[in-house]
Amino acid sequence: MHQCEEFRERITEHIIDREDLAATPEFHHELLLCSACSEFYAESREMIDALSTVDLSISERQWDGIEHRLRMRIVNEAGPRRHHKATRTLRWIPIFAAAAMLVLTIGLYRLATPLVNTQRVAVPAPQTVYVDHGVPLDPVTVDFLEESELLLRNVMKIRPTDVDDLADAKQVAGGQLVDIAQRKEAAADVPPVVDAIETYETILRDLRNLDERSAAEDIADIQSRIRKNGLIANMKAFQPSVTTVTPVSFDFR
Amino acid sequence: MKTIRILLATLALPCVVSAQNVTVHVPRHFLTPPSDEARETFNAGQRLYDEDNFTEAERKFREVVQRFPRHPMADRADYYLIRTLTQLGKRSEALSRVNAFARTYPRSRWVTDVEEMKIRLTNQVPPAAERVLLQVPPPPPAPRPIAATPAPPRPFVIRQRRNGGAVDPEITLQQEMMRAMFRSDADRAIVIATERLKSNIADPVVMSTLNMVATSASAQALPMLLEIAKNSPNAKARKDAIFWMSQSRLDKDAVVDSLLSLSLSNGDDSDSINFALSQVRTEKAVGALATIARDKNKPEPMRENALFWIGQSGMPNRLAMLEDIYKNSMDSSQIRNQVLFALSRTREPQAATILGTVASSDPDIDVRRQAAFWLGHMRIPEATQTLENLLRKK
Repeated sequence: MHQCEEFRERITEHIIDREDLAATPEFHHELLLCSACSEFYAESREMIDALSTVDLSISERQWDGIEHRLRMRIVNEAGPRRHHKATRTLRWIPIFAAAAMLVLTIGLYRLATPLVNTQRVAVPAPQTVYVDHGVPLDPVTVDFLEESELLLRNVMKIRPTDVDDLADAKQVAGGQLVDIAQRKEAAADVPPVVDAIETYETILRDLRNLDERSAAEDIADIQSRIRKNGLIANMKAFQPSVTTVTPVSFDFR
Repeated sequence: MKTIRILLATLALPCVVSAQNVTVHVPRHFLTPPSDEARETFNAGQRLYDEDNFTEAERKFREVVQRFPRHPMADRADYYLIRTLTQLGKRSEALSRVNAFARTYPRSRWVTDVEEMKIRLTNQVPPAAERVLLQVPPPPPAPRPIAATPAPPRPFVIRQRRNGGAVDPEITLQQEMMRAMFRSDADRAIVIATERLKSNIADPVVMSTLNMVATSASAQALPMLLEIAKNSPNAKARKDAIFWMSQSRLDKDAVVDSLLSLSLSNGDDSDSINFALSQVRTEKAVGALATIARDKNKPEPMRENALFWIGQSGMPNRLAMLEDIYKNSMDSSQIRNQVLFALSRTREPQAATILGTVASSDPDIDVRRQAAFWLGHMRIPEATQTLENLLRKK
């Protein structure tokens, strides 16, 4: 049976590697089965393609970040699910397997490693923090993307009965609309960001003008649109990534 | 149990009708919800719009407007139709819809958005713009104002929203007027902006048109941006002014000098200053970044950030510059590590060679490891070859 969450998890790495999933019978079949996953694939591929056409020198870790965010998107979109009893049991199998592998590995390592010369030193290794600005965006636009991501996350959780949350979202949307033209111009060198901001602008306008009388339907539609356009993932993808590298220290005496 | 309840209800319903002969309020769950064709069509239009399929999107939005003119979503669909027509280059039809909008939907919440669109499409300064813009701008936003201001006559007036929300859509409208003003008379627009800043140093209308200030070619542009960058208590305003200084059409050297002077007095916005310098894209600007990166009196994060942007600058001498900074930073492994990172991000074959040299010769083993680490992340054949050579040497 097709499981969106599991399937998207499986295809994420292939998308990032820019493989043509439609050419793989296994994936092709599932893409035909589920239009939502098919859309997810098309949009993610477009995003990756768009990024690759612009020479933005996206770092390795940035790609890793995108991969991570795609995964997060899958998790976010999946939401709480009811698990079948059998599924619950099955879920433990990889954990037991991993534990067993770990025990085996440690055991083999102990057998294979000479007990002299190489020992791990307990001294804490120095950490180096690297900030990778995957795309050339000014700090205010980066902040704007972060705020946008936050607003979108909030909107995804709003229920029509949350009057205060709704009012807050409308207020933030109005505030962001004021700045949006300037942010589009600031990001002009990065077309995928401009595209994302343009779609986001119409979401903000829908939010700002949201009519409380039809809030239930309107919010559901806005949420669906945010999901379909992968806007949260887009807003995250262009933010700088921070990596801490801790070199593993060995004493080769 | 459910079946019994349904049966009972089905039996009871005709009795109630015949006994009272009044309108029957059938419980909602007895009926399947009616499908909202207008909404479905609108949503389909939005999907097409998001996919940049504007021709089909136009068809859907037009269908909503024409077939369901009294539907609560008709005004929203009309706004989207106007946007779509603009995307398709059908400017005259878009404008005629804009002009008819307020008459067709007098109570619409989308009137402001449509008025903004009108200014954008016509690029004309509305007659009342200057008067409106010179009105005392609203004070910094309070959490949630409750008092409504009285509504002056239209057009282009400050109105409060009917929905009681705290958002003042007129700010976006005023912003659009200000942009139009910059396009038609930049010097006058700067005078108005300066006046507004006197009343509210963080005036959102001015803050959202700094790009127009920067690209206006007015002699007043750089001094105004510098003033905001130096003295605004609002961090976002300062950072934005710094960025837009780099986009100014004025003399690039003067911009670099102003940014460097800011870097001496303003440590809080160092990231913005470094980024702005990198965006000026001149040798002098990259030289200024190198000066910051070399300055041992500056905080390390500021120096590290400058190193990154030297690497990203695209200047032909950037690698030589980074190598030189590396060689002159033997007292700081932290800075040397950041040089390696900046080199690796360039993905230049020559950078791989430098990293290879560092990986085999730096006095600090951790720096050597970092060099090897970044070589492994460069994903260019030269980096792989360098790593292979390093392994062979061992």
